[in-house]
Amino acid sequence: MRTDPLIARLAAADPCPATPPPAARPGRGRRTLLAAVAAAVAAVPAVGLAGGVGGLFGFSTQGRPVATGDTPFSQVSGLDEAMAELGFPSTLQLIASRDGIDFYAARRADGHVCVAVDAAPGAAAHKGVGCDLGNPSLPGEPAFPSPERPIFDFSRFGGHLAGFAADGVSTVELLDAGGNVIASAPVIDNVYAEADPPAGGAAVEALDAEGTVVYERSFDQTP
Amino acid sequence: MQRHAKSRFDEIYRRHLDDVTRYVRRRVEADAVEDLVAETFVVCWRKLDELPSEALPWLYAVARNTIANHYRASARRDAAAGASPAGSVFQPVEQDDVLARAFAHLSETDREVLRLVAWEQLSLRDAARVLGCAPVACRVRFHRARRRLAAELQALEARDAAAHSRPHPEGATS
Repeated sequence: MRTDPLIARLAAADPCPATPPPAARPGRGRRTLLAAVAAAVAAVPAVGLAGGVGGLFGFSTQGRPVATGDTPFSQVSGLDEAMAELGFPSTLQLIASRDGIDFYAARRADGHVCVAVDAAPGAAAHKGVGCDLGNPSLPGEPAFPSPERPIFDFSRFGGHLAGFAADGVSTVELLDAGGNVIASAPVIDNVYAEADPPAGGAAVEALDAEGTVVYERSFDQTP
Repeated sequence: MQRHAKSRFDEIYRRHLDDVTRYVRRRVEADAVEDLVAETFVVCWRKLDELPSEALPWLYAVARNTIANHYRASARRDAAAGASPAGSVFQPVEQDDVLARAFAHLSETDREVLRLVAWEQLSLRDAARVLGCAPVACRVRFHRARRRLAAELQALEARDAAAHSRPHPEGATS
């Protein structure tokens, strides 16, 4: 329901948002955009590693290159402007399609990572794009992927359990407001997806191969 | 027993204070927020035994009644002072002018169900708890409200577009 464009527009006009988008901080290199017409735009801190996307995430393949202009995101009003604003590269890699959800990733020329999720191929809704525009050296702004920030989650935006996970994360679970696990998805090729989890998700947690919770993030927090 | 109640109340207060504060701030003028939030939690303390396991929709319902009482009292004061009470209705959709105008054209019933879904991000089941109606009735109410908002928006945007595309009084050629 929250990806309904009209409700998303009304939500974006919330006079008292739970987590107000932080203002741009010139010189610190971090910006965050939240909530668009059909999906959401999020930003996470940068990771200054060289090499391709595959090297960064530890994917077994680089995926299939797709011109950014040919991706479904560029056809959605709001997301196309967001991608331009975030400086998406001209080519994205379609790295995985799981449970009906397509996952894209790319690296900007300056080394920052951009990701995109399409949970409704062929439709305008249920899409999200995000870029890291941050500074990984800043305390309190841990970079994805890192032990402090091992997942980049899109679950809050469309009723799906979906996102990107760093190496070392085996499972991502969706929790309700009471902390009960209501859905779980294995991490394969650094992505996780469960297209139709039960309603009521309020947080996600990441588990390692031993089943230890290594990270938890409430949907009340900024992405 | 009293200690258990206190501990339960503390937990509810800690957990939901921010949500209840945001709920109230979205609906009333800033200087009334603190009192109304406090009033909501006083009711919570008094009725702790009646609290369901999912406390937040219940708290929103209490806050909603508290706000309604606040507006009724304001209206009485305004009437006593000879002022129009209509001006006291707070419409805090400010960031999207067309949406704000469309939203203002809706009834309060329509606005509230849309706010609960879009701003409080409640499911329709929880919104029904806040509104004190059956989930099915809430679903119907929501979809009708959404349809009316879409129609208002479409009309306003069409009107604005027509105004912008009106030919220059002196004429224009290409």
